[in-house]
Amino acid sequence: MAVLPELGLVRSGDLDEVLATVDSDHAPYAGGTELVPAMGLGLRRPEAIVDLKRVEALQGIVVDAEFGTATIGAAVTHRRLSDHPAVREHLPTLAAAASRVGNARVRSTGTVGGNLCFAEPRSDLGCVLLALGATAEVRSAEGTRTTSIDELIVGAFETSLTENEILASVTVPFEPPGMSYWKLQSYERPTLGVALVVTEDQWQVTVGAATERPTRAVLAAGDAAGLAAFVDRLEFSDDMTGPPDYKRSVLRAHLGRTLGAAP
Amino acid sequence: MTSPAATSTVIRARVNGRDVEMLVPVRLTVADLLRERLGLTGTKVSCEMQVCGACTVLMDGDPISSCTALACDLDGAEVLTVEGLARGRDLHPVQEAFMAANALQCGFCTPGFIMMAVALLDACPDAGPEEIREWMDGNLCRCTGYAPIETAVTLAASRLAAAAVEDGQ
Amino acid sequence: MTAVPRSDGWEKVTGRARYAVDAVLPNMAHAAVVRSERAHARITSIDRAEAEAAPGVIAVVTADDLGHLVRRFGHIVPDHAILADGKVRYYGEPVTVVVAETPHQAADAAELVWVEYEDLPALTDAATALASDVFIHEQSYAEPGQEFLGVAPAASADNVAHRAELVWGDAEAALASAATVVETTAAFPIVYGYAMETYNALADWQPGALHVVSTAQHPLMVRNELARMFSLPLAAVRVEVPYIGGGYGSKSYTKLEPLAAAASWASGRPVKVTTDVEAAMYTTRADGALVTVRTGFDADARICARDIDIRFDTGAYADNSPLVLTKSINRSFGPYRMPNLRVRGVAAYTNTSPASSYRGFGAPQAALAGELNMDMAADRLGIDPVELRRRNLLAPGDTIIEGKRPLDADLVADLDAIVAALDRPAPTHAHAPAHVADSASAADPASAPTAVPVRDAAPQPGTLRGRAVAVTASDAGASPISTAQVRMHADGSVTLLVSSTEMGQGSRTALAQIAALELCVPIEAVAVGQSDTRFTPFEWTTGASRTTTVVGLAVQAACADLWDNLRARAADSVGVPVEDVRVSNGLIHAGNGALTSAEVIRRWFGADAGEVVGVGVIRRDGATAVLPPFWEIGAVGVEVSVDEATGEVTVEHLVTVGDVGCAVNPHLVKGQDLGAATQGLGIALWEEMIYDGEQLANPNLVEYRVPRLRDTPRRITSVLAERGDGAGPYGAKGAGEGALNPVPAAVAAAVGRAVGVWPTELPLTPPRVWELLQQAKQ
Repeated sequence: MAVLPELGLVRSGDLDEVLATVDSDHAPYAGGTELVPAMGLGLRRPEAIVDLKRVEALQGIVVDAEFGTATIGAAVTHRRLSDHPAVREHLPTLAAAASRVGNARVRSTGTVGGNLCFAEPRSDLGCVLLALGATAEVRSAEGTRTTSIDELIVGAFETSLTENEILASVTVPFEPPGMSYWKLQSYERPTLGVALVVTEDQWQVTVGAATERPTRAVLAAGDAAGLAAFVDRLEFSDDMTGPPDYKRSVLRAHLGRTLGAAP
Repeated sequence: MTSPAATSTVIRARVNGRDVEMLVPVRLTVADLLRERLGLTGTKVSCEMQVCGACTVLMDGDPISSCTALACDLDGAEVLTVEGLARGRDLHPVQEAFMAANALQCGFCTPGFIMMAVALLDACPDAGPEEIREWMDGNLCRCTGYAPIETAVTLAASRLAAAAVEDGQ
Repeated sequence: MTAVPRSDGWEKVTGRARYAVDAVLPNMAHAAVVRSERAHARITSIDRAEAEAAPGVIAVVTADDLGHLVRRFGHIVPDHAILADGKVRYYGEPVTVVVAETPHQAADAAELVWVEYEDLPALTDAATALASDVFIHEQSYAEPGQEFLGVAPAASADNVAHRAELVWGDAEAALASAATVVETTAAFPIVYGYAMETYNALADWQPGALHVVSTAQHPLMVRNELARMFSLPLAAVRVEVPYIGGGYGSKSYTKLEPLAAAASWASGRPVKVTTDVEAAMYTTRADGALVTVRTGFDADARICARDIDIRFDTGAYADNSPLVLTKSINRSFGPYRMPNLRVRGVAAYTNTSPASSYRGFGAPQAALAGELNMDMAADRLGIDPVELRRRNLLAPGDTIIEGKRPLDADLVADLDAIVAALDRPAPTHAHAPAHVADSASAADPASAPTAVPVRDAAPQPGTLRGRAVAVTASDAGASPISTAQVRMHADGSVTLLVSSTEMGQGSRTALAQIAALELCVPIEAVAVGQSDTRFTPFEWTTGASRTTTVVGLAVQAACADLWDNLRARAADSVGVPVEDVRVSNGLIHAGNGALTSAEVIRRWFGADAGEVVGVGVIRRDGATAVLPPFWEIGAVGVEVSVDEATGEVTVEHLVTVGDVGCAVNPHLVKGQDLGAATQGLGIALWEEMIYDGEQLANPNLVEYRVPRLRDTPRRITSVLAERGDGAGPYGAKGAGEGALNPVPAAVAAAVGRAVGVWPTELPLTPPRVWELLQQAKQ
């Protein structure tokens, strides 16, 4: 059996204490669904893990009906997110996507923050949150900054967080009408995810899983040429879930079916 | 950073109704704690990537992959393993259903499937075919071809529902 | 017969069942294995000083430390080093083993062993290896007269692990004069059996004795090999096998046991060696194959000849692959009338993890090209593929291979049962789980399939449909050598001792049923324990689908022997000649009275005590004089749908025919059939170990995808054909592999029919099917 390397633990309920600790040798740790296997495989070798789960400030789901937003703490699990009544009401697509991440065990322990910070390209939440125009609150001992999902996820397994920063929460505007999320998942992780927001005059298309990072395009409704250009521009990854041509073809077919305009 | 972080920690947990207090290395997994320190070898380890579900146990009612969960996280938690399901000689309805439906062969995946089914039926007592597929799809079995397992969970769901009606719930 | 519940159900649902991975011994130490990080290299140095100084370390063992032990194992070719000796031949090969007080300490110290290598060219596929003048093994291990089951090791060092052929008539001439010749080439992937319990072994060496608890399917074979390596008498080596967490052939023969035993010998402690899935994938996988089949047909679409080439990718060590190749050859041309035949096979050493037995044993590899070829021929000849098979299938009693057992099955009837099931409309039902389990018995045509629900029947827009059948016959049962012992106690209950291993197939249940029936006692009165070479009697193997048939015969013989002993004791007690004692309905009639077995035992011992033993032996004699003990039939039909946009394949309907002669326990047989067919679906659609360099690219279950619950066919029809035509108890024949063997071929043909292009390689993953769809458009 795989054995983890010797590991220290920093555990505190105090966010400031946690922020003072996190650095390249002290890895933020919440659900552990990505970090623990990565340590088991020797891909990550922190001296210690810094447990974020007992920090109250990272655990909440706060719904602001007036502004039409929900703020989701980074340590909220997929299950809590998808079961939350207000999230189901105001962010049904996000709730549904969270309810299908990984498997039931991953959903009980895996967190929204962990999902985004690990930046595994073949995932769902980044795509859906980008489509929703979510913003991320990033904290460090030095202070707080706000960033878009687009700026947070910069590549495959790569975020814009520095080693002293943690993701504290994401703030998500309530779901607009006409939103959907579809994914093709033949393997353990999705091959392709497509979030659409379709209104009378706008097509907003966000593609995830098949590219290094989720990518969004906003087009005028009916702009088939623009859509085709967007799909052509995407750099699809070549991995065991399929070659780029395959992913492009599946995306075109899906967009053709749902938008009625073959790109 | 200042002083090096502690590489072991004391946990107080309740495992199958029994209070446990012990010093555990931070790197010790829940599965190793159960299997090696508590002698609860019913929980099995296979893929170690959260794919197969052989190691499924319930932590505060939620199913987790014990092979990649850290024992240090059990502080204050309640853990239920396959050994904790039966009440004396009386099996849990899910255990009975797995026997009745021939839902096991080599048996290595069985404890994990049973724990996942228990989690499902606790969370969702009226689970229908789609819920059963969604939850149970996260566990692997190499022997049975799954159909008997789906039948077993369906059977357990209907028996539990019938029992709930009798109890007047 | 009777579908009694499994005898191991309670243990397994309560988590009490004991597996090798759960085994502990007093003062046990733990091992961590340092594995090669090269596919092919000379070891120039191993620096272990740091590891030896690490906390808790008891011993750091390399090949140089093995003293007088025989350092290589392999029951056919003794080519397999316990620890790499001067050279590594695959990525992941054990180089050093660290023994420490705890698993954590062993793992930590293993990281402090520094191995230096001098790279050699890595030959990671069979074509490259066969063409290369770099040799993976620089010596031959063959010795004159050395052979195993008629297979003699290759005597060369040219990267050929084995070469064999099967020829009769003049295939070349017959093909030249054939009306139609159809050629098919298909690649069968390298697959991993993925038994959920990986390979595990706990060994305790003491002077003059070795005790091993392991996941071995064949404990007696492992005992023999360990006795040779440790220069011990057979009786001094004890191999104990508790429940096995899945085998499927992948745990046949010797795996980790020599490593654990050597670690125990070197450290003086009991040592447990476990593997994770990655190490298990390095330990054993199945042979990949490239097979070309050319079939000649006469003007009436009857086969006049087949010419077949089989090339195996066997990996770095031979293990059982020479025998797998030989069997693949026997199983390659199909149960068809074959006036002329030439099959040539070669198993190539490559710098990849070693291949060996896996469920089907060469049959699925060969049937992929062979049965796909029948479908392609049917199209070429303008004949229905079922009709083409019907026209060419052998009849019961026909010779498949000269000198072997004549065909003991009715294949045309099996084929008819498949077609009838495929044609039968899906039963509809109000409560609809995901899939159905239709059930039918070919022996009882009146029995209607159980009406269980189905999801859908009509083709969806954007999907294509295809249907295919495939049939195989395998010379199964292995060597008919088996012994069983029944010990009847003073209350008439029975302990049955056999060395068959219980790995989920239900052997303990089925063999207990046979003993109960033969001895006229209730099933609850028969106890069957685990195999343990110190206590349970000799058994050849637990493989080749042989247990119910061959071990079942041994159990029957043991029961007959027990009755004889009871009759003798009854005669002695009552004072009549033994010829006058007869047995009927479980009672022993001696003199004027009828005695129960328990009464005979108690009366003879003169106390409420004692026991009487019966021993049964099966060898190449009587019902099992002619090999194989039986032909194992694979007969399946599949209907698939293909999503035109994504290339995803859905199995709409799976039909299996379990042509088992007599189903001693129908639940168990159906369990074997669905389980085997599901593994076949995995190979057809998903499973493949990918070597795109020196290193396995997908050494985990995230990227090595096996069938999941959602992949279960939407409709399943499991037919049992019980015609009493087997050599086993009550006319039984084996099950377990048959339902896998034809499945990859049937799925390939069905997908080919759906998309309009014949596949040439498996697995048919969505991207690969999409490629076929693109080809079809051109």
